[in-house]
Amino acid sequence: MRPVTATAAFSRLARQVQGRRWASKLTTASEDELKHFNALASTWWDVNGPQRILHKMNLLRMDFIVDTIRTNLQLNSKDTPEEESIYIPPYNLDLLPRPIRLRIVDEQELKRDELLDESKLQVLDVGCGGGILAESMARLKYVDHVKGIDLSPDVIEAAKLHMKKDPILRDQGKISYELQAIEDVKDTEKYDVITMFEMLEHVKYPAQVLSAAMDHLEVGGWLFLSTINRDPISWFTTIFMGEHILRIVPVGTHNVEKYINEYEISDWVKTNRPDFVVTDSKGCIYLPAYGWKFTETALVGNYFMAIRRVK
Amino acid sequence: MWKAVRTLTSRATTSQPRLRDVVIIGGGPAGLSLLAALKSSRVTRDLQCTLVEGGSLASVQNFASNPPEEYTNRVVSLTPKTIEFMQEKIGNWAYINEERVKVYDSIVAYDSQDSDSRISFDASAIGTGTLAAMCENINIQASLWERIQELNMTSDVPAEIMDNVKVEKIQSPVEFSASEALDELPDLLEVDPTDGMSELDWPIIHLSNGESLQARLLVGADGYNSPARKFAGIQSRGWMYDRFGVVATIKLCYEDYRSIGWQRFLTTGPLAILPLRDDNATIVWSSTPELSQLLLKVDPEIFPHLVNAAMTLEEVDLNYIYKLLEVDPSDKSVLGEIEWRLSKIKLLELDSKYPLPVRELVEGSRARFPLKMSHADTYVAPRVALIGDAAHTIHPLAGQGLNMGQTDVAHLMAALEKGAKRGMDVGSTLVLEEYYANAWPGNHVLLGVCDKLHKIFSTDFTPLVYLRGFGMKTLNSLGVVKDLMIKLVSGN
Amino acid sequence: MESGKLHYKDVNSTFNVDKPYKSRSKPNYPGHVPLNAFEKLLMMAGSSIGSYLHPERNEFIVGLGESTAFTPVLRRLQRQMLSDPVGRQILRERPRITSESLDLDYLRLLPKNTIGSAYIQWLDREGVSPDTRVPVRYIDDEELAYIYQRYRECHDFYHAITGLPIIIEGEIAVKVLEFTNIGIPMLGLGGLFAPLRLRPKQRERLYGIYYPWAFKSGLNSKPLINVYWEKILEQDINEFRRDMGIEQPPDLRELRRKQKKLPEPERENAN
Repeated sequence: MRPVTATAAFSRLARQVQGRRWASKLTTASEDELKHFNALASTWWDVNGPQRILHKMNLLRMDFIVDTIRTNLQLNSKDTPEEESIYIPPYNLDLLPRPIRLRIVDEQELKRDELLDESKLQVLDVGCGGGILAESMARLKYVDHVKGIDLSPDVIEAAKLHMKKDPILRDQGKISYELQAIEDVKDTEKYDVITMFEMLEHVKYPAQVLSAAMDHLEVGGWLFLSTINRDPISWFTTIFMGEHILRIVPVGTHNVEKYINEYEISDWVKTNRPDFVVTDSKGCIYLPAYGWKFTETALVGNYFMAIRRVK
Repeated sequence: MWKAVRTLTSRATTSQPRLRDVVIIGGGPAGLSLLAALKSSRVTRDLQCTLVEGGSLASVQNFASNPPEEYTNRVVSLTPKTIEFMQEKIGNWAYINEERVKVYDSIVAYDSQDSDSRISFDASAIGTGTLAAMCENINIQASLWERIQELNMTSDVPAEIMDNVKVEKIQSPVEFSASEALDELPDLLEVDPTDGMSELDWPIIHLSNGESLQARLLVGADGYNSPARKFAGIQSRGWMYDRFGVVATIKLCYEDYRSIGWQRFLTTGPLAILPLRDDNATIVWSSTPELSQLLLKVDPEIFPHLVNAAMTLEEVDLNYIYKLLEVDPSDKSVLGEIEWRLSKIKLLELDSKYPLPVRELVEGSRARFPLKMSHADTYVAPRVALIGDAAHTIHPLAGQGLNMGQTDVAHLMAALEKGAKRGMDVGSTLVLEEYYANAWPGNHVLLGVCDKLHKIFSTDFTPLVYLRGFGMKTLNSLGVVKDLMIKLVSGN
Repeated sequence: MESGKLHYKDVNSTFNVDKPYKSRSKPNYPGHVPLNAFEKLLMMAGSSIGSYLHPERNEFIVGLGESTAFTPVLRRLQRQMLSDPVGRQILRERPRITSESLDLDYLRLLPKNTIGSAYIQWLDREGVSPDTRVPVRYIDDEELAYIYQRYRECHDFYHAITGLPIIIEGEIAVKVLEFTNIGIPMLGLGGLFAPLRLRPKQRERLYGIYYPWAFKSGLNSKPLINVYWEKILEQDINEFRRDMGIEQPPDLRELRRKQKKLPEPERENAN
């Protein structure tokens, strides 16, 4: 299911102008679209309003991003002296008695905190919308700066306004928003984390968009994205239920043919970008009255994916 | 409307409220626990936290270096789960004066209408040596205080505690238009973005020392009449029991080598006698308003005997004695009456089925407080969370009050840690909702159970007395069900 | 198995067996005969049939009393006494009413309007003695046994203050008074079934005069069980009745005499 999101709005716009979008590098929206964004922008940050599903999804996105970054930290580098190295048992921790297990886990977590505190991550949020994800990323201590880009001037405006509602964001200059397409980002700008949530399924040439984003990643940097598998279940949840029955998003938001299967991206990365590795992908589903939840498989329905630049 | 916001904002800016991430109102165990927990957690320790307490915390600060000779009368029961939380998450247990903590391995509850209707809970059933630990309120507060001082020594963002400072007014910086007139919940986030969005929507807390704070998250640990709850417009539902709890510190004839807490269900309310270290003990006597007044004015010489009588004698004897004392609170003839009726009980039974006799009352330790049951409809609103008595008050018969507050702190901490890890604004309902969802249902069940217990035992209607006697005896012999109850009560 | 563990026979087992199947538990007070539940039931059935067929035989009445005065009823009586200062005094001092404890000769010297005098007059008129009461044997709890004993011993005083004779109608009237006042069911049962054996004229008197009187006085008066008779022997009987809220019923023997003398139609009018 695809909620009305920052990226949704952006993507719908992108869909309309997809023909010239990547060619012209400049995107304009119709009067109607702009009006719609005005309305959308005003309710963007109402967590109980029409954007609630997106706000809820943001929680899961952040879990996915934070967990992936944390678990892939290298706790012991080659030159760490043995006495300072963190003990990572070569077996399941659950086998250990509780106090010992807690201690080992705690030691590892402490090391992760230390490593993260040292890093000052540069983040690019592609299709930032009202800045829901960008703000969350910017509040993390180990993030130095977040740049959010979107194609709708109104949502960018909404994002800039809302930023001022939190002194941490307002006073520390950790966020900047720009009306920009990914291909307009300067070649010299390099990032540790690029996020691209809920937009690939709306662009005509997803591979090109992916590639453009990947070019801005540092070695060891992460690309986090989310999209939808092309299968009957996705059709049922996102189009049949989401658009027609529950009317969570406007009819016509989605087009099954543009959905991208998880393995298609993995295969594409393997064959076309040997400098990248798909580290993790996780399926997720929206359960009414609960929120978003990870599923067992990334091959069905919505999914998140983490791609890392290895060289 | 926007004019209103403007004027309000300009007024707010003149007084320049100090921005804080978390402002906790109330320096009781729940408030101090949350503060210590926030500062102990690696995820939340960098939040700027302020605790505001209207009363003085001087006795709390002095407790560690100079504990009072006698036990104070506010003693609470801690479940193993609460103790574990204090050991592992808050880290204040190390500062608890353990010499003033008494651990129980069993609790015996019995019926005044039939002393054979009894139920005994044993800790061995759940595989731990502890069913509950009795501890003074101030001991807990002092340990939390010490823990916070310890954390402050190494912290870049030390916690701030202001005592003797009252909250004069809590104010929302954004004006509501129609919603306020209609007395709806103030939804702080439902503000027109084009203008209000640039303003901070954090609540402003005006203090009696002239200062004002503006809080990302306002935590109400401010008790039954919580100003924070009223500010958030959260309804609390419940009722007064028309009963008072009378507490007192007493001395037993000698130290009880058994680690048993005793509770007798009288029709006027349960009376619990809870041994502490050495020959000390504390009592909680739930009673009618008239009886509670009588208990406070009974001659201190007679009071211990009255407690003994209430733990053993029949209600008819008690009523007769109360009548005598109503006329003259220092009528020494009741001593003879009590002695005579006690002589009717076999010595062997007196030894095995009842608590040790009380020797004396610690002067000035008697106090009473009204009993009530209340539960807030929700614990969270935008930028507001309620914990402890601000969220719920419970009948003391199961000794769950403080533990429920600790459960609140645990759930709220889990939600805040999760929110902070996710880079969320910790005052957002997206973060706080999880606290409410996890804490409310469990509290509701406990509140309901204790309420029903109170009602079942406050009757002397014969068929019901037989029925509950039958129920108690049956329960007492049903090991599995009893174990489940112990687990519920001990929080495991 | 090989070590014989499973076949091990405890040599002490013969000494460790529980109480033999049928054994009487120890008495709780001198003269107590502990009964088990079945025996109590049996006694109740037997004595109620017996006392219906042979109301003149004392042991049936006594048995019925003790077997129907089951614990909850006596507990109620106990609570009644414990709620009252005099009741508590009685329970503490445990007075017994016998010809030894009461100086009967002294009572004869008292003025006519005193309770003591009324009592001795009634004893003399009916030709009975305080010692005709049988000791309680079948009630388990010692204090309850005393209470029942006390109730029995006070019974004659109820007759004395009401002036009702021990002939069957008088007995029934007093029993009903006691039942409404104290609440021992045996008294109620007696009041309910005993009239079945009465002659119509007796029954008329009972239903017309003595039942209403007994109900009214019994319900209105303070509990008679809490009266320390021994201490108020010198008190004025009318004053006592007023204090307790008991009316003086019509003299039964007088009534019977009158009715026997009167011709048929006038007797109707008299009623």
